[in-house]
Amino acid sequence: MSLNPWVWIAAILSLAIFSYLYKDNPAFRFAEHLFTGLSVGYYLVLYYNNYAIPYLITPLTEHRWITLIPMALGMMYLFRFIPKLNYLILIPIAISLGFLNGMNIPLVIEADVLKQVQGTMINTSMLKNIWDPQNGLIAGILILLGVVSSISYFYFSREHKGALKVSANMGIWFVMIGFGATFGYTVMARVSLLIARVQFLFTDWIHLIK
Amino acid sequence: MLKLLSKFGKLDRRLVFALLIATILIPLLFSVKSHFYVDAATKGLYDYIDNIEPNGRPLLLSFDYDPQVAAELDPMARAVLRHCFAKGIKVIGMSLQPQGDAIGEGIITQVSREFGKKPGIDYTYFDFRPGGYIIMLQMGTSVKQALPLDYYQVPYDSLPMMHNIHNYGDIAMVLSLAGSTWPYSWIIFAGTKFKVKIGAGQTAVMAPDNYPFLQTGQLVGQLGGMKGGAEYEQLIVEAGYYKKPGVASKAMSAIAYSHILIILLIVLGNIGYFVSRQLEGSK
Repeated sequence: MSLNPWVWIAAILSLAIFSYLYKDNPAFRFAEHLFTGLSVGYYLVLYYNNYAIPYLITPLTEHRWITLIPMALGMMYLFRFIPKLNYLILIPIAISLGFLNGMNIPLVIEADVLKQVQGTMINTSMLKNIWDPQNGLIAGILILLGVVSSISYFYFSREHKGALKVSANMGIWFVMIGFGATFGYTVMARVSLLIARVQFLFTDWIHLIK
Repeated sequence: MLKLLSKFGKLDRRLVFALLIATILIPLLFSVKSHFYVDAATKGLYDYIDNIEPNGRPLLLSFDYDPQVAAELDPMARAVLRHCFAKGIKVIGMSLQPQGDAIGEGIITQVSREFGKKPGIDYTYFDFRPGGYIIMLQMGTSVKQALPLDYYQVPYDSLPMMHNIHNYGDIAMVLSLAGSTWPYSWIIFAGTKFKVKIGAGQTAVMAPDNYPFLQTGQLVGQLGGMKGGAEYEQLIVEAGYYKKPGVASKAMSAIAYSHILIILLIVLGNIGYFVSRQLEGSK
């Protein structure tokens, strides 16, 4: 067994959290509240040291008064609590949105739209290796069919009849396969976290796993 | 028989948890090994890193994650760093997450000691700077401006390995390890805008979101969840860069058996549901 008191604390708190799997109990609630309190305290210090000090307090102590403008904009969010001046929070929101959209839109269109449309197209290079699971012709046809049929399922301006019905039904299958793959990955993620905790308890704490 | 089958639809959740713990614990206790194939996305990332010239342009490894997903991402970080240090590839470490900062420093220090690598010469770990996208964009014009101090508060100009690093053009690739959408932001703000190659190490929950970017080549490769870490561990062991597989490989049999159990329970649960509906209908 470990002689490190921190390992013991971590192990006991892990078991307290796991105890919820049996039923809700005071040990679980203690660990839950401790975690919440610690996280809030930790983040408060973290944000103060990493955001407030370098970007606000230090520049102001060095008489860089231009910092007062973003500070005033930030503080305008507090008008939310004054009903008569509530509308003033639109100013910082508008600036943030304008800045983020200006920064994002051209790049997102290139990366998310143009490149993805390009990736859906079948091209002559796919003929070189027809069966390549990533860049072969068969994979290309499947991707094209999957994208077109999945989009057609979400086309609601016309009733799903005839060719549109066939395509929409095929789209459901592609969407379901996508959901299945995502669900499989999600299960693996949760199980991985559990495995890591079990490894910690049985390796670091009681030294049963070598 | 039908009554017995109908009970599978209403299994006590505590029994399910107990079975799951047992399926995870038994392979770990008895070191049961399982075979797994290496995914094309992992191989793509491995091949790209393997082709980086020793002592040439460095790899930028960004630890963009929090402790709650460290179980999945720590093994990836260790495996990639072992690959780089064994091959003589220089590494720039950084984090866009305040909590990832300390995690990254711990891992890079530990692995660098295994290979006798020196900070500032073979690798540099930068201090956390808030800003996310702004930092990514700033690095496109000046890494020094975006990251002026290393983790130990040494100024940029005093770090020998950073003397020839000005912007993304001097970096071989960016590898973002994250449990959120940071790799996507790297694709947008560094890959698309500055044409630097991007790789991702993602938690299993986030990994499927990146497949469209892998298919279009916007990502050179990806490590998905603990399996991605295990695959990379296997690749560096097979290539002789490291002597033994790490914790992710040891966990693979537990993952495999727990998944079999979950599939079995889903099938039995469905059978139980339909049988109990049939029994209710016959009443």
